[in-house]
Amino acid sequence: MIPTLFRLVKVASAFKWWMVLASILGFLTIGSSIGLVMTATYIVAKAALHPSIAELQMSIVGVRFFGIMRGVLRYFERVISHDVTFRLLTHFRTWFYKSIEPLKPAEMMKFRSGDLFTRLLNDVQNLENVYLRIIAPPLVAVMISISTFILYGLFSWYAAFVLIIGLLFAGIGIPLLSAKLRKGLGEKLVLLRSEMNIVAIDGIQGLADLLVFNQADDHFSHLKAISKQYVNIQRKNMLIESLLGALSVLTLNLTIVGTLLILIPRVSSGALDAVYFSVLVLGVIAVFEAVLPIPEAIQNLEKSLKSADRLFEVIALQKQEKQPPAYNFLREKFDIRVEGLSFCYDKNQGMVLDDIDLDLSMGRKVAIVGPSGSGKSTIVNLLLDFWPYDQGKIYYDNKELTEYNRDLILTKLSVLPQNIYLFSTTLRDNLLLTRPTTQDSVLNDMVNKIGLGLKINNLPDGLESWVGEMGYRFSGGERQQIALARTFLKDAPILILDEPTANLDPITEMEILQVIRTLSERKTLLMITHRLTGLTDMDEIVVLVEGRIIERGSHRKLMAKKGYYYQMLQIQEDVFIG
Amino acid sequence: MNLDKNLLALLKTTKIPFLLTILFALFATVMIILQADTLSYVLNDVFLADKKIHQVSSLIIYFTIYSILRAIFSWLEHSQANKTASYIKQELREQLVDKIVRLGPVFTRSEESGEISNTLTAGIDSLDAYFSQYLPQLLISVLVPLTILVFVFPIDLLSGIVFLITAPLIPLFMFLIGNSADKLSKKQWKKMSRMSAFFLDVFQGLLTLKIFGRSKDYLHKISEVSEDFRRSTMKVLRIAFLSAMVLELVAALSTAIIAVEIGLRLLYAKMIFREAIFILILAPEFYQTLRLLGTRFHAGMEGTAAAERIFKLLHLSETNEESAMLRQEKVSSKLIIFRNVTYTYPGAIHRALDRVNIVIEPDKKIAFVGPKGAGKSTLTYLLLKFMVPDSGEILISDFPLNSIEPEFWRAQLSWVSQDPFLFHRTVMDNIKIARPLATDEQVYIAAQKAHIHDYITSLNNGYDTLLGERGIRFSGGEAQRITLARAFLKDAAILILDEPTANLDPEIEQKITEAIDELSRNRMVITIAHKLKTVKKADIIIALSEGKVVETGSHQSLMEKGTIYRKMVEARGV
Repeated sequence: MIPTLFRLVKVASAFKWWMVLASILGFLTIGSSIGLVMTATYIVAKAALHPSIAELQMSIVGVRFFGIMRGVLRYFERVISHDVTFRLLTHFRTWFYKSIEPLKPAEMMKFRSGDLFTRLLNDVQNLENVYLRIIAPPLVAVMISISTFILYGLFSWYAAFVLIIGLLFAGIGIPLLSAKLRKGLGEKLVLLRSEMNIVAIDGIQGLADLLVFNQADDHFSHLKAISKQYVNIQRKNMLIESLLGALSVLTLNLTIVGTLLILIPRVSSGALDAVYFSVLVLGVIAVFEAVLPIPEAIQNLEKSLKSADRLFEVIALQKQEKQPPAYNFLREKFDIRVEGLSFCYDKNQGMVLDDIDLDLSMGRKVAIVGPSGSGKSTIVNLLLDFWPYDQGKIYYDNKELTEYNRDLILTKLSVLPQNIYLFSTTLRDNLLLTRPTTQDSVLNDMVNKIGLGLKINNLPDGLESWVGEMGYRFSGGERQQIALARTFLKDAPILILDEPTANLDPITEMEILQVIRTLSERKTLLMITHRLTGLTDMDEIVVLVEGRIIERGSHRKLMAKKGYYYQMLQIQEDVFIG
Repeated sequence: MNLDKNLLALLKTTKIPFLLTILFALFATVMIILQADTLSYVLNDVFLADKKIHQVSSLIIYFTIYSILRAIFSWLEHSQANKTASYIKQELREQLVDKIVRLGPVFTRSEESGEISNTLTAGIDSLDAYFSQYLPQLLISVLVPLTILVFVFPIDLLSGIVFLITAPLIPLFMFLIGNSADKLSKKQWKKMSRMSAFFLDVFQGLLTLKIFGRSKDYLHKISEVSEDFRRSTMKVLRIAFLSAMVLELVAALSTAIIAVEIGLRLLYAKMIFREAIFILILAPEFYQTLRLLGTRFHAGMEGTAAAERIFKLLHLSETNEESAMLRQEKVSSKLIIFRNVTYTYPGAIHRALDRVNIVIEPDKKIAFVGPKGAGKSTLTYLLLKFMVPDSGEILISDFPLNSIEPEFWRAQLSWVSQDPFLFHRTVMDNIKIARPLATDEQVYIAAQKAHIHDYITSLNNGYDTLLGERGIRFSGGEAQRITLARAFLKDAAILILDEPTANLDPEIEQKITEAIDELSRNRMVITIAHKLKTVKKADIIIALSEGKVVETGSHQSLMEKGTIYRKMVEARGV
């Protein structure tokens, strides 16, 4: 817990001066509050002795001064501390992105799932409170406690001790009690919330199935029951919180009682000037203002530390090797060769790829076909250096892949990944992702070539149309076309297309295949596909089944052989896409 | 002033805890006044009357008792406020859930599912502060100052007047500043959810960014978006803080004015010390409630912003409202007739179905074919009662489908969709959803028929394997076979089948085809067909285009005279 806190503070340390400033302002604000109450009481107590008005003049100015200062200082304290908070949030976000961006793609693929990312981003969000609700309150409380302890000590050290005991109980005892009472509640809440989320998402996305199976009532009663539990625990939590709030106020009042008990005999004995008696007693009320936010701070601390722990864990995942690559240069045109490549994701599971040879000499057109799960996309991941391979070699321009910087390699490749991801931004931004400087004429030309021109013209906002959640507002085929367009816009010497014609209707498919043919004319083309269409003029077709190459050759050769390729084609010919 | 009618209406059902909240707040206030009273006597007696500690001990004991009672009442006050909020949160969540079900799958598919579930969970949670803090405070900050005034006026008219004049300033400023802050805050809420969506988007698309060598650029973009958010939020907050400052200044200066005022009157012996100190103790309490209103107003604002989204959902119009209670239905001879059925999706320009007439005779196998967007899925959705035709009607053995109870009707249907949804449950539960009372044995048999049993048993946890984000993901072919297993388990009289896409693994394709053939035996089958083999097996092929039925007949006859169908057959494979 403590090491996490230190690491967290270290990450936040870029803003330490801002935080110091905000804390000092916080201290002065509460100080003004105390000053206001004390001078006001002083005026009243002094006046009761009927002195000349001149003796009150200073205090009258003082009371106004503190009154105004309290408001003004609090304003600046709030503005600065919130500003720091948001700066910190930006800082944490970029820090997290910076830490996660260089992760090995292999590691990244493991948490591609939306839930995990959502959780991580919530964790980052939780850190937002680090200054405002965690660092600042105890800092201010300590400053106030020390200075008022000294102040009260000037009059009576006993009273000072009573005050500090009251403050300690309110600032530390009550939070500890709170932690004890709340034990486990927080975790239960988190669990129930995530459970509620999952059941809600299941219910929303699977509503059709639930209705058809007449299970909607059951499912949603379950959801309601979880919500009920969740609300009940929230309530329990709030009850404890308000109980502790009431206890804090009680502590304050008991501290007043203690102060009375100490100071009354001293007034009677003449050891304490009676005028200051009321001032010190009522001053206690204002001093306690400093410790009231502490219980909340401790609660937030717990939450933030858990979040921080999770984030540090992710960040600790394997980074991309830092050692400098041996080669920083790749020619514009070069050959790629794969020799005896074998690979498995998990040593306990079977081989995903087994002894693969590929010849991707400059300008060669190769297709890898096979049923899903045969390892086709894994080859792409290895060619992109997303996973380290176990056996065999991949050569880029006769040098091993691992000798290069990955980013350098990626500049030479136009890749259409299997899982296409469209960003929730405009269509234009999605298309320009690969080359932001593309001219409008080139962009429009590509959009037309790919068969999206008409569709886009019909959209009310054209290229500025928003691509919805996961690009949902576009059909699967259209999303595919968008992804293809941006891949082609990159215009690199090597094209790697993973399932370029997935989700396309036959007519669009034919058109797209034609586009691929034209655009790859002077390029190396590696096409991964489960559609056996448009492969007739490939230099080589590689049939991959369960990680092994079982057939290879030209279309004509494979058809004549009447093997696996031929059978797959039979199945496909039976299908018409509607 | 920040009082949402929809939100206030919710209070009607929880009047008692809400009123108790106010009542306990009043009790607590009375205790505060009594505390001030006894404390002022103690201070007075010691300061001016030179009393010793034993002479004021009973007063100190009273003070202690009032303190304890005050703590109890204030706790009860919060407890009742939470009761109100808890009740309303649960109530609203239930209403929202029911609403989503009534809006149906056509709605949930068109909306962003994440946003709906977010409204359902976090959105409703953010109403808490509105009901447990803001609303009660609104009443309390009127009642408590009034109570204090009742005690102050008899003692010191002038202080009472100062209180009375300064008090309304606080709500007034709040109102003036609050209105513009309210608008800004709503905007801010939208901005915040858009910003979180942006970060999620960037992280989810990180691999894509990497592939295109853009991931480093996005660091800059993240900080830009985040900083932009900071600036705009600070704009909102500055206004909120400014309003808070004005409130504090009013409160602080009023305390100062009162201190000076009573000080001067004391000086000239127009007032006695005890009364002066009594008023001085109460002054901060008097303004405290009003100041609290300021902070809680802010907390409440977030709630009203979320409420907007909640009530927008709750007030969406539903089509499926007529009472459909008919259960009597001749199961044996199901003649399904579409008569002049027209349907347009909400917000769409073109009709998805345009005066469609179809007759499906009992126990026949029907295949719908047609290009994308022809209306095939819409037909099945109507048949599944996910929505109601805009005009025309669907008759089931002469009974209008509209009048048949949905549960009763759906009990007789099995539906295999093309993009199967698997729930975050175990494999067993995912199959059993088709028939929850089925025995494990029956599930095994269904899975065997769907050719997925062997695969399931090969998993480490077998049928207890958890699916979804926390468990494992099934491939498309596996998920398809799970939905087939569901259909086997349900064994309904009518099968609506959105034919699974072909699987190029000859072995798996074979398995799925076999399973579907087996499933199709002895029942009415309505297929959205994608394979020639399937179409050839159909009794009647109905070809659709742009929402209209264009051709009907057998494969043979359509190949001879048809146009669209023949084109599709000829274009297949390629």
